[in-house]
Amino acid sequence: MNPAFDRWAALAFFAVGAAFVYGSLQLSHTAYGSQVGPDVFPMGLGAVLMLLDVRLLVDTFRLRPSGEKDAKGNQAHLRQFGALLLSVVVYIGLLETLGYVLSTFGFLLAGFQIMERGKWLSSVMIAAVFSIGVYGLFVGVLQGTLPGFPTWLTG
Amino acid sequence: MESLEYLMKGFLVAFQWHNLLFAFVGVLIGTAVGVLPGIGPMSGVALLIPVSASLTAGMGPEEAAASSIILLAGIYYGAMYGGSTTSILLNTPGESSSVVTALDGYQMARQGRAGNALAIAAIGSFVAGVVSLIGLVLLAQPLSEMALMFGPAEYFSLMVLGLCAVSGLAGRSMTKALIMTVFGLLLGTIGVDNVSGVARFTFDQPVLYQGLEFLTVAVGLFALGEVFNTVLEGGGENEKAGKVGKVTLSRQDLKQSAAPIARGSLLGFFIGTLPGAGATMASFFSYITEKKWSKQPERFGKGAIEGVAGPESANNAASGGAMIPLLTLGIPGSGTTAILMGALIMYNVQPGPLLFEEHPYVAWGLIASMFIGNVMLLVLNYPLVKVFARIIDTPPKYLIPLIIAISIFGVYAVQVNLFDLIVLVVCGLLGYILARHDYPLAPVVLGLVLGPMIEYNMRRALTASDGDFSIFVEKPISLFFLLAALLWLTVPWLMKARGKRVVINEEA
Amino acid sequence: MKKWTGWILGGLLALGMSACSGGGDPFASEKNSTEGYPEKPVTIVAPSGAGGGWDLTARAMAKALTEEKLIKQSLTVENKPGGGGVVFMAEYATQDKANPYKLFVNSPPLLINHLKKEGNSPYGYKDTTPLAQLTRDYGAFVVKKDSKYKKLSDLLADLKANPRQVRIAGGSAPGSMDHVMAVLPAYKLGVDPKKLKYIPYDGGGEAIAALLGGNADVIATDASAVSEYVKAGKVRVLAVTSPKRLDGELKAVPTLKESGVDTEFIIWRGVFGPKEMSAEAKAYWENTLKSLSKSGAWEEELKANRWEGDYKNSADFQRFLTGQEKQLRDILTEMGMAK
Repeated sequence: MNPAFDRWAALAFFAVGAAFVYGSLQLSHTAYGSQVGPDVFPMGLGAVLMLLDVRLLVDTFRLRPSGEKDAKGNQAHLRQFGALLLSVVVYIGLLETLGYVLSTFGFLLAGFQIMERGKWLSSVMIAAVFSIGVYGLFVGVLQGTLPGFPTWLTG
Repeated sequence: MESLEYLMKGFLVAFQWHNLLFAFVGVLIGTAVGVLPGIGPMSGVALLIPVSASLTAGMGPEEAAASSIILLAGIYYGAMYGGSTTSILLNTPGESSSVVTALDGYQMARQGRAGNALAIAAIGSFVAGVVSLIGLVLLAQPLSEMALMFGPAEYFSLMVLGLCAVSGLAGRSMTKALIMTVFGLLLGTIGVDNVSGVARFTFDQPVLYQGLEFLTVAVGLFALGEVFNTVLEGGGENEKAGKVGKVTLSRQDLKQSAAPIARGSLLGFFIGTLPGAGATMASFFSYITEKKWSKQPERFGKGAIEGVAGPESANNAASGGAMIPLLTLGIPGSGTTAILMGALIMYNVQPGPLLFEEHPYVAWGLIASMFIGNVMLLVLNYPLVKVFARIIDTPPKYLIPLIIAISIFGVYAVQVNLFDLIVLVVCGLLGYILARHDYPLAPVVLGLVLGPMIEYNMRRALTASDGDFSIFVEKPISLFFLLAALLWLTVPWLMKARGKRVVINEEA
Repeated sequence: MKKWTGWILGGLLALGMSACSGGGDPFASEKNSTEGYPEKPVTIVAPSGAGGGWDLTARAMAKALTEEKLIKQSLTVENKPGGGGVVFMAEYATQDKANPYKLFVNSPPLLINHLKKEGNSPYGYKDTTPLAQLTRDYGAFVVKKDSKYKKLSDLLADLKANPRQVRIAGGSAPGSMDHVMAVLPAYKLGVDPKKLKYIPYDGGGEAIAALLGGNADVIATDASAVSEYVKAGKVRVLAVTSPKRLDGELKAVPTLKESGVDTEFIIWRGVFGPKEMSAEAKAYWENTLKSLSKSGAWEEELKANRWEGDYKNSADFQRFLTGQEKQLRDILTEMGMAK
């Protein structure tokens, strides 16, 4: 185990537990037609979570680290991950404005290039086949719901 | 026996060439849909109802009903199976019942035994399908009555037993497993409370009224978490996750899997008959049972074939068991069977106590087609195992962005909401960080599923009894489950106290 | 390298785009130039996932309209799940309030969500243009065959004497439609609805299971869902909430009025447009939906889904909704669950 991380995690989950307990206090205590109100269950669980975190915190001091090194990903991987995460966020942000096909195509192209530069042709092909194929199948054949094309494109 | 005679007639229906074709197409489409994370059997079946309606247009009403329900049931089984494929290959559960399959299945795939895992899943599913078919024919009536005896108190106690089973999912630290479980239970309380109608922790945001969607959380924690892990740990470059191993199962594999498949099938079938509990509970219970009974529980979570064979058999048997309340009582036990019921009603066939009398053609045709569907699953998937297993040989350059895109598509297609996509990404980050530090993820998911069921059933029971807690021990079935839960927790400690060497998930 | 792949790809992309944009091509406006609205494809939203009652209604409607060629533009059905329809309303009433190309299907929850305190929707039917009511269903009070209650009045007498001795169950949370329906008769007879014991289940199916398994004494559910159990002799229906007796299996069942409770409850389903709808668009849909309600294809859909057709035009529907809203507000206020 990595005591430093576990200490922070214990504190974070303690905060989550506390937040749920606090939130439960704002709920009504009596429920319609029922003896046990809607606040009991989450409040109890929140309290249990807080207790468990105390125990985890104690454990981090009591137990010696298992010697497992916290191998931090190197700089290059971190940058790659950052770029990928950013493109996911941009993808989600543009999904409903640009429509499914265009945004997915863009994301895949960016994603392929972030993972490994080059091979543009096959990147473009796979991205296009996936985005058009999925849209065509899901919306065309299955009558499902996906954002279509932006209005400025279809007029 | 009367039922056998009917069953034979049912086979005559199911063996008509067009129905064979429908079963095949259904299984094929189902597998394809099930492979997409986020789109589980429920949305798969719902989306394909119009397609099946247009395929069967032009037939007589009874034939059309039989054919289209055969098609839809095929989709159901196919999707159940397809979900396990992605669990094994990509650590991406396609539906809730294949979450546990990912635990050992994905480890097997990483060790180059993807083929074996997929093959045993196919075989286990097939055996379970046959077992549940036999059960359905022989026990439908008594079991449907037993399922009715399950009131809120009984469900509550069953779920408590299920929750105790969480201890079996722990890694090195029990504390962490418990924290994760409680965290999952807490996440499950978000949304409008079904028993009081009060909105909890929603901050007046309508998107939260129905709570966090299970599949969104599961796909995020498992699939995206693993993707992020691969990128950050440098797996994105050239380190091959492992070659597709031999697909032929060794005798050792079969020997190890035989008993789990048998137990999983029986367990799954009985749990499946309970409305609401269903395939997820069945697969969890099976996994825990196998781990508990195993002579080497430490192998679990590291690619134990029993950990795939048992749960996969159980979830398939459960989908057979779920047909019992649907067909005999007209009570759908799960979202998917609710949609199947809707489809039957569209063809003027009302599932319920009179189904077997009024529409024997449809009812027995469906039962027989379950068998045929399972045969087709095996025939279709056994050769495909090799093809599917190739997926992980795709260069990471393409594979990783594609998994992200598929996850986003699966979630958006069902939820149609950007909020769920944000939850998906946040869960992905959380999944990576937590798994990296030995916080098990499966308990979060189990808590999220079981939490509302435990709470609602407890409060329903207490509402009925005017707040008297003795209702849980007065009912015999409920008492039985509570005692079992107690034993589950205490026996290992007692045995340890008596000096027996038992593996307990205390801090190592 | 392989240049041709690029060409094929470009072609594919263009093809995909033109195919997907569907009827939205520039020629569409020419075809309909005589009529004006609609100039674009129309979307009907079911504010739930695929497979539910709203979804089935929207799809049946789209199918019948297309089959009967009542609309020249293409119709698509979209699902927008979340919060029992509240998520959709929040978006519709703000972003689409002047978009006549997006209609939606709804039922009493549209009113209830707006009135209730918890899980409230800030928007109600007044933020829409009700176009037509299409179908209706009623509530039914159901007990097990061996129940001691033979008539609704027996049950109500017991409820009056001791409101907590009867376990009433329904398929949804307190403050929702099943609950309101369940307590309506007792409330009308002066029993405090807060005192009644209501056990909510997930959906009508689970509620019926609870009834058959002896975990509930009486349930309130959709009348259309119980006839099969009546036929099989498993349950007895004490009363239905319709103004007149129903046909079929439930013919012998008295209405609430006959049982001495002067009220009724209709589970309607209807079509709504955005609040700011042009007179032209509104008139178009009024006519189209009226023709729909009389068409053979719609008859077929009603039969297939076991719905009862009940067409009301925009003005009647609006008047009806005003009355419904008042009734619901009164009862929710009485239960302490109104906003």
